Amino acid sequence: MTTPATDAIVLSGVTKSFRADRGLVRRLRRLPGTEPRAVLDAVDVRVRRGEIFGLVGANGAGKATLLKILSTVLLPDAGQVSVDGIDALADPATVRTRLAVVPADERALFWRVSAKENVRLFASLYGLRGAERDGAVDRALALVGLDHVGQQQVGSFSSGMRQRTLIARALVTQPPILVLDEPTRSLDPVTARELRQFIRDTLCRALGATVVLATHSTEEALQLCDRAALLVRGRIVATDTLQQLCAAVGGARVRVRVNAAHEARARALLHLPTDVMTPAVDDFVTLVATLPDLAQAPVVIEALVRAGVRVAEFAPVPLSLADLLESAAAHRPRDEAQRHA
Amino acid sequence: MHRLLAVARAYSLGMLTYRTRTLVSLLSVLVAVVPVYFVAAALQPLAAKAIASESSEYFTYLIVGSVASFVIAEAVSAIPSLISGYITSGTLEQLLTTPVRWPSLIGGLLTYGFGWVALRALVLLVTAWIWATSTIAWFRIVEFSAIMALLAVAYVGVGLVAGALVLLVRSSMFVPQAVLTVSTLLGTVYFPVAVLPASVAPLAPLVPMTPALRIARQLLLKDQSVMTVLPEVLQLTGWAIAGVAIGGLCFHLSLQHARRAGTLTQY
Repeated sequence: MTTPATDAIVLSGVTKSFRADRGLVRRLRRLPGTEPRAVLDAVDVRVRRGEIFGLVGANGAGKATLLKILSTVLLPDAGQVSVDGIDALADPATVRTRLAVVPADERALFWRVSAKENVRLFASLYGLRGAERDGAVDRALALVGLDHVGQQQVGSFSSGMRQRTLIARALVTQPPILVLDEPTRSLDPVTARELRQFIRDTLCRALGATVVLATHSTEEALQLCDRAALLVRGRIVATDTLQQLCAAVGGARVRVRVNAAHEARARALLHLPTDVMTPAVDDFVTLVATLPDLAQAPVVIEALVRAGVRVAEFAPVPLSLADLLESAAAHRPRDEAQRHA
Repeated sequence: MHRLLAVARAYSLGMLTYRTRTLVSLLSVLVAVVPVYFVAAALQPLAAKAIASESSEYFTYLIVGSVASFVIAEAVSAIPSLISGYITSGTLEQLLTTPVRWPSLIGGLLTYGFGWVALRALVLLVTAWIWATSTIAWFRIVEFSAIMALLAVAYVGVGLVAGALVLLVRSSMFVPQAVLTVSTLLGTVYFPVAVLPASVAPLAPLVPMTPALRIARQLLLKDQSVMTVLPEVLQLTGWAIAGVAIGGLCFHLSLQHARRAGTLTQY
């Protein structure tokens, strides 16, 4: 597989199935329920150098499996994986020197030792020694803002600090590629925002690292990712900027607040069902409609006003992951039918 | 080697924070010696003849047996226990995303455990030396330690097989417990081969513990040189080589399997 110099990661036709673990005896006797279950189905992904690439999908979509294959701890059943131009299946040892993983689970840290010792261990495992290692450890801790608490036990840290320790551990050798598995999963909104800012400004812009990020938050993907792949039940259904993904599979959602007396007229113009009515609050009702494109908004507002509807609010609504996935799932059969045609 | 030492350092620093547990564990060794001393003294007239070729005192005979028990318990149990815990926490998978090779990883993780065994063994031997009427050949302690190290290597093979089973089926399938029981019963920890029933006595030489304890007692309690027990030393060395080779191969293959099956971490 040839990898263009602009691509940091190339996955081609990656397929993976897992056998349902129902006990040794059942597996040996090949009883029902132990058949392999497809987790990834012919996944193709190209991640460009220096970009933040998101893997967006619901729980069980196959994000973690894909990250494990990238980090060489899991072998695919079929397909090819290239990391920084190296064939990950033929030379996993070299790939491990180019890529560092920040896991979702903070239990992967050594909780009874200090943050500094945790980072130092990984620096040593990556082959750093002596003053070079100590300098790298101090720099990594300073980068994530933990230099002042580096001597404290990780067990005494908050979730956010542990997450930063995991990032420092991954950053200690300044690898060209960083893989982050749901990095803000256990963080409060403020800490999550700070961490996203750190990922965007420091990891990607300042250090020039390529970042692959698995998340089930469209908000996070929208804020962070240059491009994203939408993963639905082990298949990539779309890859683009998230704004484009939302527009492509979900259209533009808008919240429209209109006078309750004009609801039926507004519903008809917004192509919403007219046989149901929304309870009014202060003589106004709030409707959520989907437009083919946000650029259509002025036209729709004009049509509503011309029809005599009093419009109190007309605002875009961010698409949630659930909406995005539902839309993607609804689009998929049509896409497949088009492909077969 | 420096990767092994790095793992050993991180793991040891973590374990050393359990100060109370460490102290209690050390004290329990001292406390456990008391009943052994009195029981051994009571049984001395009965055991004297059977153990005469290895020790003149049943108490020291039992103490050396207990030291070897510490060693094999750590060798067979530590690896499956660590692998199981690290699979659950995701630590194993994380460590394997780095360039570290599994022998360095396992070696590093075992370092603290065996260091701890050495300290407990030393406490046991010093206590025995204070209480025993017979002497202990302290100047043979280096040779004795080397034999215990060979014994550990022989049984680490079993630990690796048990660890491989954990990677494959999430259970060590009671292999450590079975090996410990058989080795303790047949390996002359508490009684010599002569008192075993005739039906199982021929099996005793098939357990690595048997030659190891014969050498250990000849060195420490009979003040004999290694050359006098050379056949047993060679036998134990064979066990050590075979144990590590077979155990290492099993572990390596199961790691490969786990990378395919996705069992390096708990889903």
